[in-house]
Amino acid sequence: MLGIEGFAELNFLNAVQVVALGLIGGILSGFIGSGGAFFMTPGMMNLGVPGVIAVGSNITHKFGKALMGSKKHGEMGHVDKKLGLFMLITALVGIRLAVWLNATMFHLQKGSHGEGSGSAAGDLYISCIFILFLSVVSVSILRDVSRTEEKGEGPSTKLAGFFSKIKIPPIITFKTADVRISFWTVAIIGLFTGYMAGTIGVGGFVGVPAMIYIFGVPTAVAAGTELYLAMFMGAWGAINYAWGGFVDLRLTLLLYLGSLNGIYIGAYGTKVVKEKLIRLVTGIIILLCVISRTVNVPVYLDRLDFINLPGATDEVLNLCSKALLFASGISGVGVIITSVAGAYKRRRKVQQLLRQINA
Amino acid sequence: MAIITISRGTFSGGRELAGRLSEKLGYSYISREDLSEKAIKMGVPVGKLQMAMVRPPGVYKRMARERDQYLACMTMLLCEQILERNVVYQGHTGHMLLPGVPNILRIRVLADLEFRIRRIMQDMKLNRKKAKKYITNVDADRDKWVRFLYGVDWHDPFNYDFVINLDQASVGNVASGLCAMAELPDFQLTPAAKKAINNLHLASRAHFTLMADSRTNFADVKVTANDGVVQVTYLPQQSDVAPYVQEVLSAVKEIKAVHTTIAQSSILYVQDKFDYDSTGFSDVIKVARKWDAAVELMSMAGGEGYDGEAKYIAEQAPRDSATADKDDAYDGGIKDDAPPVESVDQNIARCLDELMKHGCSGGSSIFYGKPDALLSALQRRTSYSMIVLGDLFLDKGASIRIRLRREMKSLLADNLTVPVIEETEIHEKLEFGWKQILKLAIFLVIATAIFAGCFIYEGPLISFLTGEEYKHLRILAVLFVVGLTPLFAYTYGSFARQILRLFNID
Repeated sequence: MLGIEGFAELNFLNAVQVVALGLIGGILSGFIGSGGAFFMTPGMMNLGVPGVIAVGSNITHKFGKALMGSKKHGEMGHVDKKLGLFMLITALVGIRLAVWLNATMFHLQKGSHGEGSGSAAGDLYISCIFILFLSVVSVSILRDVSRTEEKGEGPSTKLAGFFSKIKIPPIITFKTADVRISFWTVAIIGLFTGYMAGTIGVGGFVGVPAMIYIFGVPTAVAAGTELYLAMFMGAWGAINYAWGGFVDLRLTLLLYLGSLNGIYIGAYGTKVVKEKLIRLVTGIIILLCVISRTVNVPVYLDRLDFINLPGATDEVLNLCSKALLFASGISGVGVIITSVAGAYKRRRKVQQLLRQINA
Repeated sequence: MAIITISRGTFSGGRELAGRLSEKLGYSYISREDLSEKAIKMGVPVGKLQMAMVRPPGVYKRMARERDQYLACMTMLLCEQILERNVVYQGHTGHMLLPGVPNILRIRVLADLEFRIRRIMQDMKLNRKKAKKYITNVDADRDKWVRFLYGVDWHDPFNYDFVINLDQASVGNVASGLCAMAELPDFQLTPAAKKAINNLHLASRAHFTLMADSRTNFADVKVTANDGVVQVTYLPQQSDVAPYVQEVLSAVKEIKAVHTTIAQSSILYVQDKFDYDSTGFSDVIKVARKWDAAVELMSMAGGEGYDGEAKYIAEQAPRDSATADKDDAYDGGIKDDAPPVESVDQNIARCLDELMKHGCSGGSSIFYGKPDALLSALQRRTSYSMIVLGDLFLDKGASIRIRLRREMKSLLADNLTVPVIEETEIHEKLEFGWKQILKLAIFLVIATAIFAGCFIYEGPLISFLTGEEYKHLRILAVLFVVGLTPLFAYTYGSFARQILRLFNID
């Protein structure tokens, strides 16, 4: 559905689907605490939006949300600004590199905005990074959930133990996070966070676990600092993508229509749902998003003439991919809403019991 | 009856001083090691906690449950000793095990690094380099240990009544001097302090009992006690614990009644006088119910004009409703060495009953002392999700009251990493009147205008953002994107949030 110079042609049905993507992404985002890009970016690509524009529009959307969220975290004292700024130094380089690679891949095919080719090279590149990285993330989350179930302990600390032994100067003390880390470790993590944020818009999946597992930062400070970092990374990403002409403001606004409602609903769910269930739902949804993206890979290979798909196979695959993505999102949201309802039902019973006990 | 606590760095002479002081005064000498041994026998993983200190911060920061069990057990054991005899306790900031107990003589012992190195070389037969390394490592581990347990810097002299350097004075002479200090009325346990210890003992015993039972040990509970009535607060995610709390605590014979509250977090509500009928109080309840928070009421019994010496917080828990009506006045507070505050207590009791009806009671306390001492008292207490300042400085005129309250708000907000707000601000946020409707309408108009503009002029907009003909204006396009997006997010986001608030989704 390529319209004006490779931008998506938005009819009412497409617009509703983008709002739905925003709503589901927002609920998942509020529930999980991530940006929701792992759902929204592939969702837009399934609607025919070129990958680079989907990423550019999503990173711009994330920038506005991060501006609001980081103020709240700042007030709560959950932000280590020094750590955020040190990570930012290389994260900005990572984003610039990511935008340049995305744009180069996009322009590899015909036309300045991927006309005709559907920007298959860029889409394939983004999909491959998405599949590779998010499979690792989802498997790690699911393994962590099963491991903590067996041992009854918190997330693994092996990596933090290993990296704390690296003493390459300069070693920097971060007071709010209460850690001492080599600048070079921070710089490498910052670079990778920036690259992933710029390429598929999921920098939080690098930054937060890296701060917790590698730096040994408390979870609340890691989440707050990432949000603070995301504000600058989002701004820099938005500037870079906008400079390249890859931001579709219409998509950004439609995403907001759904996500800014969804995020409050999702955040509401975290108050009553156990952390283990939150992590389990996160792992499964991300895994399903990865499978959905994998289903689409043959379509891009076909467009690039690497393989030949018979007849309307590409349309069938795209439909399957889209159905799988929406099914994963809707079932995830279903689990959240059911859990919230169940928790409140249980809580009502407990409150009745307490009233009897306290009477 | 008296309590002396001595904190010291390794080989600083603190142990000898504690021993000599207990001999001279005829007090019992108890060390942290004595209590730790007992705690180990009672199943507390002390070794696991201590080993975690030498691992990366992430490891020990995930051991909050073990830490709570350790603290509950150590407090219980120390209180048992104190209730029987006068005690000299030697350990890391031992007074922190007794939060809210006044009149403790808190001593910190220091010694010059050279003095300590010489002693280690003598006693442990180490060379100078190894002795110095030993001191550095042990001190660093103790720093971490104290920060992990109590969240304080134990080097901070404000944590102690006396900081003594043993470089020049001998242990015997210092002990003689401290004997005189210990005899001062300021360091004798008053009936109020004894009551506080009794309450603390019961609370820590109940807490430890809950943590030792497999049916309740998974829950992160907060336990307070007053006159045999125990208040247990837990998180809504851990509501499975509710049916077992009563049964598990029935093993503790001294408990007269148990009250339970579900809480996601806790709010501290500070005021001179509480009124259960006031708008401010009902606003705080509304917030607490939305947040699943427990509300702790703190009344300021001192005020600016307070000239008493005591500055402390006396823990209280809700009265036992079965016996409450028999009392002439609610007697949960500690008020023997402060002006009578009976009317305050009665109001608090009514407010606590109201909070209990809503399932968000977090107990109450009275602060005796000038408001500026409140900060140091709060720094030693459990972290709150929010502090609400109500009607304070009632003995002053209206304008002075506003100024003093703002100053207090700034002082607390700057020094505690907790949001501090005035109850009038809560009312403004909860209120949904014409002012809010107008604000919402303006936000909606701005958001709609941006949205409609982008779709009505989508062709020119996309050309402007991407087209070759506008390439020379690209910088304007970038500014347009990074300016318009947050504006829409803010206006539409605020609108959406307010609408969801109307449905209690916040």
